[in-house]
Amino acid sequence: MSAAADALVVLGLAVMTGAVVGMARLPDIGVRIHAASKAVGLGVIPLLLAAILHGDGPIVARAVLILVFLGLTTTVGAHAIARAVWRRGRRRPEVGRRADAPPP
Amino acid sequence: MPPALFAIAITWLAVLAAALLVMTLRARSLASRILALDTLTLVLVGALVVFADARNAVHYLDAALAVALLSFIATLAAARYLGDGEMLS
Repeated sequence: MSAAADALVVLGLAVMTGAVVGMARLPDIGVRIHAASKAVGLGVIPLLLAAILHGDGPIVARAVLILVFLGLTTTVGAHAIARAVWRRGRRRPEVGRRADAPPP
Repeated sequence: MPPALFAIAITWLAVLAAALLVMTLRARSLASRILALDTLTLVLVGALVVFADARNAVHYLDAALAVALLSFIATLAAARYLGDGEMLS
């Protein structure tokens, strides 16, 4: 049980590293929203699961609360940022365009 | 949690937080800056959860919940300012 919790912590750290690397190296704001919201959300979840496996009553209750809250709010936050970028007029993505295509 | 894993986890989360801080300061647009700051606060939540797991103490999770709440509200307010030009319509 303790080994499983430790493995979950390592998994969570690996996913969060992927999120940060993705945020640094992806070219467009829309794709970076993907990396930030999904990967960081999915990276904190194994850490919370490790706390649930290790802990007793109050820790499990609060960890479940944080889990539910993060699950609900990372999506809404990502959508808010994407909607703000859309309303500012950035509607053409930098990715997905062929290298020999004419500039927009 | 063995203390070696705790030390590695906290050090690595501090490295991620420093990288995200550099990304926040070097961001080319306001949207990237808001995104990096939101992610930075979530890494802070992760560090607090690791503390709670290692010390078997519940108050770190209270702090983690508060930080998550504040970061969510701040992200919504900043995104609304970015998109609409004002925050409290």
